[in-house]
Amino acid sequence: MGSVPREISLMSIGNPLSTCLLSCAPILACEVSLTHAQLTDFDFTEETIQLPEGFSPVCFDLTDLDLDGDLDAVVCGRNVDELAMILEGGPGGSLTPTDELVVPDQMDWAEFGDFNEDGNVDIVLGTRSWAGLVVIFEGLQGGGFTEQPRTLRHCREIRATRVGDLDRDSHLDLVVIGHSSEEILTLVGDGTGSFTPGIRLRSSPWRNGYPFPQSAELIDLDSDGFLDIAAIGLGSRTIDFSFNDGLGGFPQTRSWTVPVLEDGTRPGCSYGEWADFDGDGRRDCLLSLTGFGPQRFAIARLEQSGDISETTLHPGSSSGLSWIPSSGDFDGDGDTDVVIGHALPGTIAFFENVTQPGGELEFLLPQLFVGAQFIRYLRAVDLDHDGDTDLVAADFTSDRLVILRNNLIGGLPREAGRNRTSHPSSVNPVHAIPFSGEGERDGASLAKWLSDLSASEVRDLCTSSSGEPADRTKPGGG
Amino acid sequence: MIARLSGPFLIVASSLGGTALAQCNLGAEGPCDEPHASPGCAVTECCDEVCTADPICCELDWDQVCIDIQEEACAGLACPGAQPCDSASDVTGCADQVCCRTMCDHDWYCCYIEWDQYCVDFAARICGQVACELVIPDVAVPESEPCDERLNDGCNMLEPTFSEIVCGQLVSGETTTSSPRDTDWYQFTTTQPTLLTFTLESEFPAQAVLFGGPCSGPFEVLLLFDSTLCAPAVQQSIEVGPGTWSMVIGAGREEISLRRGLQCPLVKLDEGEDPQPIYFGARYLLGLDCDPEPCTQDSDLNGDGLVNGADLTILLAGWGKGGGPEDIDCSGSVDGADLTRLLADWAG
Repeated sequence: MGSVPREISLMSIGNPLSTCLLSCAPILACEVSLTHAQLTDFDFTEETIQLPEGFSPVCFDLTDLDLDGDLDAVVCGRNVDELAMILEGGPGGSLTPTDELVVPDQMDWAEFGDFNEDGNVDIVLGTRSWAGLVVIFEGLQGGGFTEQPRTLRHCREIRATRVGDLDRDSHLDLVVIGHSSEEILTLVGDGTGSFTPGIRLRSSPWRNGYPFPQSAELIDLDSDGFLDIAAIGLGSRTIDFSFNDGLGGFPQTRSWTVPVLEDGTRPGCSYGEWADFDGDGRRDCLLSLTGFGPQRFAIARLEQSGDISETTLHPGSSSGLSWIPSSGDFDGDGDTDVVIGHALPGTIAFFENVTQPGGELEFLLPQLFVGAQFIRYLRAVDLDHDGDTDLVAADFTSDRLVILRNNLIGGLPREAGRNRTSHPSSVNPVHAIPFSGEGERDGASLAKWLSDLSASEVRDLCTSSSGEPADRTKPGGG
Repeated sequence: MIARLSGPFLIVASSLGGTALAQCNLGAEGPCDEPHASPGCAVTECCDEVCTADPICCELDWDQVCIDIQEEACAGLACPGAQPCDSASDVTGCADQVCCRTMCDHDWYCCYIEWDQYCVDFAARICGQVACELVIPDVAVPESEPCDERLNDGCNMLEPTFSEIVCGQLVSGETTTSSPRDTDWYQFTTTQPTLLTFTLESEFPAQAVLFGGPCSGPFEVLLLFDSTLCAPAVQQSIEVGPGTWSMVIGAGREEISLRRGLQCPLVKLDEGEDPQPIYFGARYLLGLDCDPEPCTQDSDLNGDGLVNGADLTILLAGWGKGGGPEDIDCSGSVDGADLTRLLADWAG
């Protein structure tokens, strides 16, 4: 399999396409110029799962709730109706909204886990509002949930929670990301569904702005058998590794700064995706970098010791602002491809991995799918059990989940499924993107701005010519 | 070096930009959101705002017109509130006006939504601090950064720039909360295993962070401690090997970074501009002492008179460290040369 030299890729998506940026509409001309030389045409059938109007999905999780062999889903959103949705999986990987969960506030994160160890999967949700609430719905036999959730009051503006057994006592614990309270908190589970506060990790205390931790992954970074915390600081532009001492404590934290771009600007970063991109058997961290001008993504390679040995920059899409990364072997060639969800417009860009064994990481130019305004969340999964990797995306402003069902191995014939670049939009370009001023175009400010937007604000941006950002002094009120 | 002030040092400029109206300061009673016969209302900030708009509310009675005004004008103006500052509540504000406003300037939730446990915990850390002023000794070396500049913000800058501190030095500096919040980065180098001792005292809740590593990473927090207001200097020590280190002084505590209330001593206001609130002084004193660790060159690491397997175990446990007793040849790292030395001295 050949490859496109990185230099050529950079030139290809440089200045000639810079005018494609900051538009709510997918830029079809740009896509054509970027994608004609691909080795593999990724091939998906797009399906839509409509959610209630105004639901504004932000995050979801997938698991087999009712043990029927099909993946079910929970979806949460930033909606004034304060609802989360349960979607029942069916044969062939369908997802059908079946139940509503009434939640105490807008929710930014949803995840499954059996916290009370009764054999039924529970749901944990994190509130976006300033009064941080961890909300837990206990699972019932057959896949249902209790109507009244249990709530735990912690942090300010929870942007994510993560589930894992931190202290290896066989009980699931929680890690809570307090975006505005600048903290990462562990909640120690006892196997009954109860949690007690564990360790509070101050996020980037040296930061002279605000660190705004946004997301985290639980992963054994240093190969000692214990789950460590790899958090992303949106404001600090850092990946912060907190190493587990084996007892649920995290006495050691090491941080890396997101790389400066070729033009000297600093991009923002909100999420990381952990997968083995270079085929060395160790997981690397894919970072979607949000910046002005052509987007980039970075891959940080992890050493056995838990240190990042090298971070490489790669050209991203010129259509939209990079937001959420995911990965999977979408072309079935045995390596891990990159996919990034964007905002303004909300395209989904696939990057084919053409890294040679032992060679430098290399990815081909992006192939773009889906016409949306803001893809808030992505998950690569074999939804229909046909042996290939599908993609599920949360379309923030259109109140829907989008399934890109992979046609490469199973599924529909390629002709029926081909839908790339088929979603022109009539919405107007966005002209105003805020930045911190003072001579520096600050990707972290841009990422922070994106992270705070409500769905209605995104829609307003795409239908007004001014594009002025709304007042977001009240995180819970967007 | 701390001197207590005779009067209150904490100055809270009303967010309204003016002093409280007389009636609002004379024990006005009655809820701000309900009509009552007496003038003014209990929440001074809200009362001020309403009476500025309609003086009759503070002269005659608190009628429906005043209620309508407060609905528009009093969001977030909740000081003083009804409950003690050390009690969580589902209503806004707390009874101590200064504490209430200090808290709400750093965490608006406490005045907009409710005075929750987070407000209680944070208030316990920063409210009620006795006012004080540092006495800066002549030997102190002034920070090279003017108060209103951002010249030594280290890894927070696109091109990292640091101030210097050397062993035995006492540095006097200032840090503020004006945007972006100031962090002062002092860089220094050790060429051998060294016991570092830092001292910190400050006029504001200060936090000291010792870093190792380059800005791009990996950088690691090696030491993190807070100063105690109006108390003798806090002292912390740590052993390090050879290397370059950064000591960072910033505003805040383990709870949260301070977001308002530290200003440069002389702030020139534009015409018509309201002064920002000032809660604390902005100055600090940072001291650094360095004690090179005596290198004993002794292979008997556990001091039992023998060089044997027990010592080998200790050496292997310290493998890769930057110094310490396991660094038998005093090279600055625990490595093969130390193992060779230990084996040569073996007398098990």
